[in-house]
Amino acid sequence: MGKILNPHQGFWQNAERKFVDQELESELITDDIQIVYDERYVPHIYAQNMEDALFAQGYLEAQNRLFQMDLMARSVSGNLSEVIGKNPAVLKKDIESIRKGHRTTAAFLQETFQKGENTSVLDKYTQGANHFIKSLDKKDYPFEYKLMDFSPTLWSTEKSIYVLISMADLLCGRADDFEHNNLKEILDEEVFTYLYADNFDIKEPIVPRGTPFNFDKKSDHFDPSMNSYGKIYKTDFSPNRIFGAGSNNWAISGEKSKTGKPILANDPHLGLSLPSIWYELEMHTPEFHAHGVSVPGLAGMMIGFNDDVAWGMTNVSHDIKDFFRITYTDESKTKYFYGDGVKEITKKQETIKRRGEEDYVEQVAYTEWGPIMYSKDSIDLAMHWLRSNYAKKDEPSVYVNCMKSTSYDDFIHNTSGYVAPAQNFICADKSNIGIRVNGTFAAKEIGDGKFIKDGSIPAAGWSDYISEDQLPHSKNPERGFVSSANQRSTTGEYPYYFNGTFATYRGERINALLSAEDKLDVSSLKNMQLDNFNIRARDFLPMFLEVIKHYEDEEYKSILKDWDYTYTEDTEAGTIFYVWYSNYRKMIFDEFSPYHQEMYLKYPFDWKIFELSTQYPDHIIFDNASTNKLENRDDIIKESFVKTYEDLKTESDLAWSAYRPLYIDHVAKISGLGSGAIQLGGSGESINAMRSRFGPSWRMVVALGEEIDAYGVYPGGQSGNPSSKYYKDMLESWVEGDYYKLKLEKDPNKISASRNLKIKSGR
Amino acid sequence: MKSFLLDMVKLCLAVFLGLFFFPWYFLVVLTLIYGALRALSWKAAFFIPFLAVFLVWAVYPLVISLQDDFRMANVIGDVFGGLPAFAILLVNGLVFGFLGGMASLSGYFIRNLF
Repeated sequence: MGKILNPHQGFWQNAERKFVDQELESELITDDIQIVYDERYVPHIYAQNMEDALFAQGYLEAQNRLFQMDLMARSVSGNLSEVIGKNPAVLKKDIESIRKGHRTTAAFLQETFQKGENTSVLDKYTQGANHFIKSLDKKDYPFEYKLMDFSPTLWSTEKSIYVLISMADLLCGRADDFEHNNLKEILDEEVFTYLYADNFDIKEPIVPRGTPFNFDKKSDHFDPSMNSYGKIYKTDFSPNRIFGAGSNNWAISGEKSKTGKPILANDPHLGLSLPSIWYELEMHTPEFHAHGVSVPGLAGMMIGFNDDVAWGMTNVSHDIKDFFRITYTDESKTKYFYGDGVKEITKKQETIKRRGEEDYVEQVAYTEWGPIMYSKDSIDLAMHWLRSNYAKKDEPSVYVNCMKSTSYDDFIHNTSGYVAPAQNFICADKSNIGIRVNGTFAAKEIGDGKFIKDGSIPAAGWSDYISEDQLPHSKNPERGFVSSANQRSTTGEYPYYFNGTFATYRGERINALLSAEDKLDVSSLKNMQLDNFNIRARDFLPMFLEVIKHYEDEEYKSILKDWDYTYTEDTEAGTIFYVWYSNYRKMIFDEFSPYHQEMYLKYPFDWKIFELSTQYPDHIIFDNASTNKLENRDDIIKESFVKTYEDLKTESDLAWSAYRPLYIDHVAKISGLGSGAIQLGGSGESINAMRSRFGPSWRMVVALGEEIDAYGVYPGGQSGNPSSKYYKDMLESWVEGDYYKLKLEKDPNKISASRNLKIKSGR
Repeated sequence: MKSFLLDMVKLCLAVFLGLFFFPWYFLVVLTLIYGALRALSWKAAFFIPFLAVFLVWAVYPLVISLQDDFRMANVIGDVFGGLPAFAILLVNGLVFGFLGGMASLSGYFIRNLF
């Protein structure tokens, strides 16, 4: 306690007093760099070349977000226990990272990236970060380091790679193989096949219906005998990270825009935290001027704009992870069957350093497919993840190259060579709009990757990848807009098969709104980002109400009757519907209840439950096995309504924002450093996709033209220092649905500076 | 009274300057030595170091707080379960002042044992 409260060395030294302008020197840059922090503490970097600009980015992100970067790298490298000791949950997380093979993946990526011409991208960023870290005196250590009592270590390209792996783990680390294996056992074959079918007939795919694919490829069906069926019980280690991400982006053409030039909007939804996942910055070199947001730890900007183009991302969600069941030759588990022969297991010892305790050694068995991630009841499963096995040397440059793109076609060219996490790369220049499903995907046979596979059959693996020119892509479609919201990339006309976890409602709503108006402007696009309409409610509620229409008029019914399906802050109907639908779904799938605790399961997608409810109201799945009666849909709607009434009768306030407030926690969940309860509207299925710890992490709207007209906001602030006035200064504007004007300011003297920084070249 | 004040100011300066170079428990060592070698009564042994340390551990943070609008004091208060800023400043001074006083008192009694 004395250490952290010591006025000379402890927290008090982190107090943000008057900013002092700084002048530093480095031999690692070729020219002087000028940095001006504006009134929101957004740095504007003026450098003479890209390398120097990235050096500055590394410096600034370390200066403002070092703990967060460190934590992100540790969270997937098995190095959390090194700083958080004697905590079984933390050790478990580290072991999970090791079992997923993240350290091996990092080494593989490091090796591949070093072959590229562009390793300097990561090197320059690292040098800049380390210029800051080396300057730190103990009394300057960021707040969290003092509280948790450990010292920052130098940044490295390897740590940047771990940040990339962490993003990949979150965004493309999901596979439903375990769930499908279990569901196939629990449900009747026919029921399973119907409820968990792929939606080839999606109403609003990303690439518009009817877009021709100018190549042929005949996909065969994946041979089901190469799957390995059977129940899989839970272990301590989850195959998937809990996934709650979902994002929107869209761009309208000049014809659809009041200004006559394209406008682009992007709002990525992620688990929200303080400090925020994003760091906003602006870069100027003689070659380009760009403004946008980066993920601290990675060079470049993921989302942003320059004089000529605006670009953004949403997650693709294709399944790029398979599990293979290993059949050993004998109990020693040293050899396993593979093809006509036998292969040896390779054992790797990985050490987890533990604070205040002896090192923990985890031995991981590697197969041809990948590490054995799951081991229980004599079932051993190896994990094969595209991110661990496939890399391109120039990947680290993609987010850097976005910044210097001069046109749509240049952007497409600059963002090639991208692997994972796959993203829907959207871009608009002054006369073109387009979207490309960008990333590396296996060329799969139909049905490939739905279940756990038989690891003794080499042909069960992927043999080929989709070439870049065959990726789903839409440029200047006739309808005058492109959009994505984590839905399926294409209809079934796309020659390649793909599966994954796809949303539907947001995409449907976005396209409906974009189609409805002839001319749109920045403010209409902002309003769209804040749209709280819920298609799930629009679909289900009329059916629900029809079933209970003969019920005596009572409170809930009258509240629901007049609802416009919009999740405003104070809607009570929204709360009732949310609980009602959750109960309805749970009661339909009463088949799950004996298994929920012990195995991974998942509900069918909402659109499928709707189809089931409207087309097959007497389907056997509606029956509740624990009663003698044969229930149908209407019975379940009625029973779930009664249950909802019971669930909510103890709630003192039914307003949506009181029932489901938003919490933005500190990145390390340190109590007192989060936001507390925030009351606002939005719902998981609205464009304004708000959940209790999840929501639009950056809202941006950019109108292209002679003069760029751009706006943005995120729920946090630029500084990672909890006592800074810039720690969460933008939160209130974000809650209110306000935006800040983002300006490409080429003249540093025109910025109302909160702080100046100069890094002189010492060469 | 004059010597009381003078001792307090000297000790206060020693604590303030010493903490730039030594870890926080330097104050315990210093006050213990003060109690053992210099304190004239048990009252002086407790209150002089108490006040000296209090001044450094409450007033210096107060000076800092005046420059950052008490934001850091509030953050520390939040992390420690929602204490208001002034309470954090007071507790910061009182707890460590008391520690200094007790260390010095221990020194004083040890001397008196022999």
